Amino acid sequence: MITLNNLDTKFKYEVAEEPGGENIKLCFACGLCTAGCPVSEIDPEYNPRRIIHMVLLGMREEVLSSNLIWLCSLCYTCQAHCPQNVNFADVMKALRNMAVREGYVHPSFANRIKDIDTFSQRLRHQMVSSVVDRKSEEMELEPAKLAEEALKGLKTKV
Amino acid sequence: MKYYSYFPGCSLEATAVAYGLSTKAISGPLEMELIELEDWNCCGSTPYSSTEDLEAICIAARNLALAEKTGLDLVTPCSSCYCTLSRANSQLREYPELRDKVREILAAAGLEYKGQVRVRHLAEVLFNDIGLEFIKSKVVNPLSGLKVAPYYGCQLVRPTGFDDPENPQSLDLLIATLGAEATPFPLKSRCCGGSLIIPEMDLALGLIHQLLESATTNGAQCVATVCPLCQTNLDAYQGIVNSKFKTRYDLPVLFFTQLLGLALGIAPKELGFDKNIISAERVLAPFTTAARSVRET
Amino acid sequence: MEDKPRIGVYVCHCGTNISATVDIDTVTSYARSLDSVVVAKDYRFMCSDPGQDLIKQDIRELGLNRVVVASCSPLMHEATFRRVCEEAGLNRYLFQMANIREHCSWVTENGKEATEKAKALINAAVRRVFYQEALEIPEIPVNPNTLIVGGGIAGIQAALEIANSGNKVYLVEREPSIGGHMIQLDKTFPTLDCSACIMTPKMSDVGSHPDIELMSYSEVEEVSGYVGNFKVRVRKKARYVDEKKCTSCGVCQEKCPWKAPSEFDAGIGERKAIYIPFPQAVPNIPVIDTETCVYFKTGKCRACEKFCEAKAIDFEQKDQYIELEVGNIIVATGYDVFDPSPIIQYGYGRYDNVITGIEFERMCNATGPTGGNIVLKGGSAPESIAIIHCVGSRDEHYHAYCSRVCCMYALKFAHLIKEKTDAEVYQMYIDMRCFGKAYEEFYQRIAEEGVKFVRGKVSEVTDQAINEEEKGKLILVVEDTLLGSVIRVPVDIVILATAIEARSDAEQVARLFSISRSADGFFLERHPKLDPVATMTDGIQVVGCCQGPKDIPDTVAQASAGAARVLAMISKGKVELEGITAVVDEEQCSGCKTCISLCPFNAISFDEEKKVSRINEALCKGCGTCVAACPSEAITQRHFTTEQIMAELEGVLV
Repeated sequence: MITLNNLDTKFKYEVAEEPGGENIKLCFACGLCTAGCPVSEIDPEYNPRRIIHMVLLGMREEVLSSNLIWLCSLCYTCQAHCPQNVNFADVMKALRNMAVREGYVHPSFANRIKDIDTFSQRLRHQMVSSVVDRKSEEMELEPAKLAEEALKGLKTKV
Repeated sequence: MKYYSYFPGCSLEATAVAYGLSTKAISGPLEMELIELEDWNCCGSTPYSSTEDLEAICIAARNLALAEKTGLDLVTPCSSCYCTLSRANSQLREYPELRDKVREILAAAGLEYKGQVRVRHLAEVLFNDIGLEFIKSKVVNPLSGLKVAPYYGCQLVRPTGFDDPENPQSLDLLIATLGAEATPFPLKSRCCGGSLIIPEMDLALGLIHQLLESATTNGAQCVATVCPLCQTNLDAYQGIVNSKFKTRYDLPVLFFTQLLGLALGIAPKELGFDKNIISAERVLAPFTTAARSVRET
Repeated sequence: MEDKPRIGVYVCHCGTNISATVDIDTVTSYARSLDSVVVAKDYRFMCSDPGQDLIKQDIRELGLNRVVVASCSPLMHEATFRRVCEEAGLNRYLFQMANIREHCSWVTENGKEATEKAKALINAAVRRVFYQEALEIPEIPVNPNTLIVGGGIAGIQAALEIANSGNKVYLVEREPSIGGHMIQLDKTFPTLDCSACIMTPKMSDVGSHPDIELMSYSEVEEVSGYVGNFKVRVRKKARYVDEKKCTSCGVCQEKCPWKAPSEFDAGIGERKAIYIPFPQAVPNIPVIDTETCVYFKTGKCRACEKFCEAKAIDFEQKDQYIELEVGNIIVATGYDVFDPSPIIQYGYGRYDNVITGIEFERMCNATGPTGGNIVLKGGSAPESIAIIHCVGSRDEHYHAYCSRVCCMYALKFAHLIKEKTDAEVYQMYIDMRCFGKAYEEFYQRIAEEGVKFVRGKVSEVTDQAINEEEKGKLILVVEDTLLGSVIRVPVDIVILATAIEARSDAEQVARLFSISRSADGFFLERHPKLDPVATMTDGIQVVGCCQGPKDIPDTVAQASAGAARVLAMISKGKVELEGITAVVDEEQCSGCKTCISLCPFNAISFDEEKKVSRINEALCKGCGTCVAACPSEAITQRHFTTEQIMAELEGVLV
């Protein structure tokens, strides 16, 4: 049983205030977002419909401290067909921003996220160079190693 | 000649060099003048906007403000830049408070955002402005018999794309125009995992695996993409997918501009084929020799 | 002005609707201080009997000759207070209303500001009423004939109700036969009566009724006139078959070699180029579809003509135009079925075995193309069938509204499938809405029959199998939101419970009859609760699905209500016209005729002898167009004179 303490009735209004968040209150929980979500398919723990419902109930703590809000790949599949025009990817961005602003994640985690692009560029650069240098036989495991090293901080959020 | 303001984006400078090279190479024969936006900066990118939305939108708005001064449409080949810039554009139009805030910040740098610039993806420009008929007239090296999986990914068609988000057709038609065959590809607008490949590698690998499986079972010899992120994920991580899922994919993942260039008779080395990790040499052999001879004659 | 104005002002509290914001005492004593005001009173509910009596008593005892009531919107109670005045012997046009509720207390939070605004509005009304004059209220006789447009169950019901009272009905139907969508249905929920069995007796009554003139394969082209006296032009389309000679033997359609998809069978069956749409059609006369008929393209064939013993085929037949005069019109033009092809992810048009609800109705029906067998394309029996709810309904991309019948017809489908096959049935629903009489009981019955319910909106229908069991099936991907898991459901047939939507030509039809549409595209009723049948145009009623999605019982009820409205008008025999008309001052008129071309009601003619315009008061609707346009300022609109309008403006501004 989940005990809903610390319900924050203002939470949904705050999310609705964010650009793209305005329709969240209209959600009628049809689950179309979850059914089409490529991330949910790989990791069933990730359920957009449930996250929206948690926001609507006011489960601020649980949502903002959850690792799940960082799993959205921002592919906008949910948004394309939502019958109530809930812009879930935008909601997700809003939740992440709130989590950072309100200290639910360690600043270093936020910095790492910001640097993802730089990391991936560097990573890819090294891969291409290794191909060009004809070191292709070593290549297979290299990206994993590189990524792990580059992003140690990402696994520990707080 | 058609003129555009050109936004290459960071990826084309660094990792998707082949995309940048091939885009430049096809622009001449297709009579497009791509004028690189002076002093452009990062588009604001998806991960960034997840943590600092105001900063991210300002970064995007700076590019938009610069582009407005040129009076030309802003064209980018990168789906991520396309999505970030056009999203910023529409959000700045929709939310006056946000716009005022951003305007104030830009004003400090002596820039003004009026909201008049149109952000466009290269694929859309080729499809709508240049036109398939014109492209067809320029094809000298038809890629006959080549089976290509048309991979649109997310951000070209969602959230504000120009083609149907579920079953887009434009790239299919373009591939056919080059003489090649677009294979059925049910996951054509499915997510590659994007930047999740870094923080959530297992999750992204799962998505990449599904895409490679779908393309292969539908008989594709290579994948044509419109996005540097998709290309990196499917190309660079194919080896890891193979070891994780015990598969043996050997599927070249090409930028659609590379195939386009080849069909236009441009030499392979000008199209950056050597920058692809999974080599396309075997698959493209019949056409690369042809390209050379077309060029020589 | 015959007498010096003696004005009474009555301020209503409207419970606390007005008095909570507006200071009633201040406003009432202010009103008392105004010029020519003899009395000002306030009361909790001015519209109540005691409130009305208060006004009547004052008119009689204080000799009031003008009345102002400050209360709600004139839309709400102007008619009430006009009647009160008349009952006390005062002409209704000597009354004026000040709206201090919708225009004031409801929209102004600050009490002081609201009180000031109420004072201004009352001042305006008092100044205006000072100049108002008694007007004559013309009455005209009502033509007892009625036009009904649309021969579905709504139009049929209304036609029979009116005709059974002995009054003439013209029933115009666009298709070759009456019957509408209902005759296409197999069974009807929740009682499972056969649709044709309960409908054909009514259709046949219509066909043979002495007081119903059925004009099938006809369309209304033009409507003019006004309540009680409409003029209607109907185009009777050429059938190319002489209705008087045809014996309905059916040989023509038997011998015709050319085929097209059958509209009646929702495209899943075929009909000939000359065809009677279905066996029980009324009238049972064939029609030639010139698009399909090869004779009309190449000039060769004429097979039907050769075999017709009655010599009824007439290739030379032309469209006919018929003028009707009617007193009332009932619009019962029905609905269109939503086309699901734009929802690409559901694969309609791409996968053979994804079908719409109406296609399933025809497949299920014994007279349909499969003889009532529920089968896959190719004829094999299904092992499982899924019904997707809310296709095109409750979806901001298509129609935000609920179509109200889909949950119930989806349950009916489930029952029919269970009855006729061994297939598993899945209902993919968002919310079950079983609101009508005996509907919830029907839901329980279907649940007991073992139908599976999955709560979630399907994200896609695909043929991409991921395991052996899925091969050759259509797989639905949906989150079962009650399980909290995404599930894949492989089935053989997918039925899309498609929405009811406004007719594609609803806009033109609305313009034709001068009625409005609501945001969802359906025709707009006068009041959503208290007047759901009438329109803002007197004498025109809307019934059935053209007014909004509804089931058969509601449609029949609304059609009867529409008929009752018409019969009331016929039995009264006359209709009051608006006294507010325009009048030409012949001295001022320069004879420029500007007004004549502008009048939307053709109410102005030209007196060639005197060289002046003249307005027919029976036709004038008091719209004011000519008044504004007249370059010589020769036209005045009664009840909206310059004097009155200026006085009202001054009242607000001072």
